[in-house]
Amino acid sequence: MFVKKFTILTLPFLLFLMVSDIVKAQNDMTIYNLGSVPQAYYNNPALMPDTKYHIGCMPVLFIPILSSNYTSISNSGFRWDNLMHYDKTVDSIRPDTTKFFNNLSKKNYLALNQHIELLSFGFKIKHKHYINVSLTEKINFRFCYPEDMLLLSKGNSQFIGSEANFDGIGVDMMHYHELAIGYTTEINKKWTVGGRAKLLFGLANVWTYKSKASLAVNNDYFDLTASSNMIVYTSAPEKLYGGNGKFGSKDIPNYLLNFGNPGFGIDLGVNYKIDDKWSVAGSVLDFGYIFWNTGTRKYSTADTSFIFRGIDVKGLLNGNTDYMAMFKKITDSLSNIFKIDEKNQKYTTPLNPKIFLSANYQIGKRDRVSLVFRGDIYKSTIHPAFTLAYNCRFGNILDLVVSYSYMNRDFLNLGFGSSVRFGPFQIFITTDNVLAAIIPYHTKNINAHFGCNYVFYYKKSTPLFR
Amino acid sequence: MKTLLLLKYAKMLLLILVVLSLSSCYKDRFNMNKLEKNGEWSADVAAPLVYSSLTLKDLLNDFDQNNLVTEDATNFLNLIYWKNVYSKNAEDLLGIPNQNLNTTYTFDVVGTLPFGVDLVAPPNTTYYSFTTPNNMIIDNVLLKSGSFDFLINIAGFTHNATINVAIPTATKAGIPFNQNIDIFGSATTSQHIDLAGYNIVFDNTGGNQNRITIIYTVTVHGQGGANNSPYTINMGESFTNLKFQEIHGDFKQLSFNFPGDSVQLRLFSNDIHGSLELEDPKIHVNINNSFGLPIAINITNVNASAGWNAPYQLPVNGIPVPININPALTVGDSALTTFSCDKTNSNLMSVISIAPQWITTDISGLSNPSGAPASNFATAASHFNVNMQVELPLYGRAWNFVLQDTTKFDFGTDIDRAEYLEFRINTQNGFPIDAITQLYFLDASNHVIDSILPQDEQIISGALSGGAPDYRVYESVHKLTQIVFEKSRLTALKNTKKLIIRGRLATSQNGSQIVKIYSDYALEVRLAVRAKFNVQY
Repeated sequence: MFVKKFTILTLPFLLFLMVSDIVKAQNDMTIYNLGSVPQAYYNNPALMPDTKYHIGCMPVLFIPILSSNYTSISNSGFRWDNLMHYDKTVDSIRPDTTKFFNNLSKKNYLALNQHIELLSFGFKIKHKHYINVSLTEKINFRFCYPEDMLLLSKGNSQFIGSEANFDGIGVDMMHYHELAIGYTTEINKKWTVGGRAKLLFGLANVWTYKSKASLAVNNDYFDLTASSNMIVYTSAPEKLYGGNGKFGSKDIPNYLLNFGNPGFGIDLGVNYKIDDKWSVAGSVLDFGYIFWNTGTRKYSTADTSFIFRGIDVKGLLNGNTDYMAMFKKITDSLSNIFKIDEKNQKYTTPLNPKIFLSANYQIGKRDRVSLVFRGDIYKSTIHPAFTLAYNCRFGNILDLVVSYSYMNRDFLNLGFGSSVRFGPFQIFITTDNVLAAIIPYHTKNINAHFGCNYVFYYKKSTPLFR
Repeated sequence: MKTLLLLKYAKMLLLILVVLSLSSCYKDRFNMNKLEKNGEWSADVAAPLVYSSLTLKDLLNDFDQNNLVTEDATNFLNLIYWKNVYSKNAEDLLGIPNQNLNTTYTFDVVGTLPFGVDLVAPPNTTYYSFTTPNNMIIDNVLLKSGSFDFLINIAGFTHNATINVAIPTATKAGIPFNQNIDIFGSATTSQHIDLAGYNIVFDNTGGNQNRITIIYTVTVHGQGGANNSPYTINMGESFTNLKFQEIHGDFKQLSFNFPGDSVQLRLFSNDIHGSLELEDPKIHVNINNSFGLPIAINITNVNASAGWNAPYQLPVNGIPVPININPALTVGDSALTTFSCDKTNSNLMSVISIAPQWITTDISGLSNPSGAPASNFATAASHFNVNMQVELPLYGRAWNFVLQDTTKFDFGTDIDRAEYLEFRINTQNGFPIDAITQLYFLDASNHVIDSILPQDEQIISGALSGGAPDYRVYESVHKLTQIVFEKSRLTALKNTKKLIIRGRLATSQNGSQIVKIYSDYALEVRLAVRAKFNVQY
């Protein structure tokens, strides 16, 4: 019965996994299953925490700030040992180009994320209603590097008769404050729904809105055709732009207290309890926009191309051997054609929405398995990740979760998470890839989510799995 | 129950210890000091190097930078090589030398010379005949510049005086030359009188030649001293630096001689061998004369010289000797005398067929060749030029015509880093000329190391052209040549120091068909290279 149901629920995920070549997601999958930690709520506002109420607090100082810190670095393109091969016999490393290039996808992403929760608290009302408030500092960075860009390091001959495609190349970076208020209600014993409304204040942004570039090599004459059409928006303190002085420590308060770039976001979630053993849940996060008004620039190039057919030797026949002048003529032409237009322009960026879908099976009172799908919607494309997790509780003190994830085109992600309670004080830590600490050269994902809370439960009740 | 929990915790602890021990050995993999030494990175690169559409004007710019390619209304091309083989201007031909008169005479004043009393001596008339080159006779001369200079001394003179100098036949704006020079006692007085603008008429009557009359009148200003007349005055006068604006007279017979000047036919500078048959070559001799002076010139010893093709030297015949040059009819005018020789009146086709690099000639001449009295004139701007033009209409046949050029060339020492080098040469030939081309790589001792093109890739076929009279090309011909140099050949090329570019040209059908070259014909050359090379790190 279990096998049948599990298969039915997981088969669509597995099929998607098999056909997908674009599995490049953000992380933070393991905490989804650690229900004892209030911050797991952020991945699905319908998953009501076990606690009656909680206050996020800073470790050691026990003050209600800095309760959660999430850091992740991921590189979907390659692992370190794809790039550098270690030869034990001679104790040396060398570039392994074959492995490196074989592992690249058409588009690859280097992503860095830093989410620092400055303040959070939540409380239940009559067991069935839950309210959560949080203030979080979020920095997300993503650099897209197309495979063809790196392949060019092997020369352009491989593109004779075709083109090296650099579409998508660019940087996206966003730094903003997020003030969120969440509400969850248990409609009946089967259905629970929840939502979070977020007020956002953008601080800095780089947004590659349009990125089309290519280098074609003609089959007969090796003519090089470079094409480009780029639009990049930025918002930053004026001093960070050239010619406006240096950005110093005195400018940081003004930077952090900039409320000129408002935005909003919405999270919605639902949880359905099929029976005593099975439940399914789903959520949509970060549906919203930020309106950038301060320190904005738009950089763009026209949709144009430049064909280099070679140097005209007429000048040489005239005895003109000023090669630098000839080279300058070409570079001047290039600069004119690919001239970057800069202007002040307000703009609006969408957040990168995420979808979570999960199926849970309660094995016993203290054991549970879950399958979680996460899809990041980025540049109109879903970037999925999958996690299979086993969750176990030891007494009322210790919660453990081990997970296995497929993310960023990488099968080797063994996650671990734990929360420990000492009276009302809870410490938690999770990672989607504990192997990053053991074999960092063989991983694409490094992340850690840790923090601490004061947690309080209802009397005569023990925290139970949802 | 507690035992079970402890067991679980112990297992967890063991797992953590295993994990930590495994993690201790990964640092070597990130240690960049352990990066393999002398590793290599390979790159295979393709790029276009040259893209040019070369017309004959572009190609010939290498031979002659004086834009001596002309075209007619149909765009048919002529090559013209020219040179002023002889040139004389008025100053060279008719310079007036300085004239030293140095007149000395004695004058007498009658009466006492108290302070404030002037006594005038009788005038003294001096006649002076100008000496001229070649004994030419000057009727009149309008001076552009020059001066009448005096260095006057009156021995024992204790008074002041004024000397009036008058030249009745020298006028400026209709006013005769009349100047006063003040003398102070016996001191030597220097005076320069500017003659610019004066027109001097010379007396050539009654046996006189180039004679002028100068009248000196001395007025003595009494200073209260004794009158010690007679006094002897030395005028010390001369005409210096006389430059004429205009001159009239009989310039007599002036002879000149200018041996061994030449016209270079740079089209053939790089020719080393071959046959060429241009249908209508010409030599034009243009003589421009703005002197009012007839001249007869002799253009002699006209020879064509070829460095490579027998008979190496060939005289050009058909140029008449002498050629009588007409004089300018009026002042400011010039007369052009031309003479041309072509295939109808000379052996010029044979001369050009040896592809001569030089045409040399001697020039001599004589003015007023009849020797009779003449009425000549000249201005400061008058000149006499002999210009020789060799005109080569690009209309004819060529076969086995070899052009060669040598240039310094070095691949550099890193050429052997390349695994291979592929040249891709695309030509679109719009000239009706077949070419067999080759590039040779030479070492410092001029030994051929290698050549670039295999035998079957050397031919660039000529464009297809129509028939007479225009012989227009109606279809250009494309050729793609791919040459691959493997590593072993590239290693040998490290010693390359020179590059010889050789082209064997022939008009269509191995030189049997006549072609015409037009300015819109072009050879499109596209050179691309592909190379795989290794970079060490």
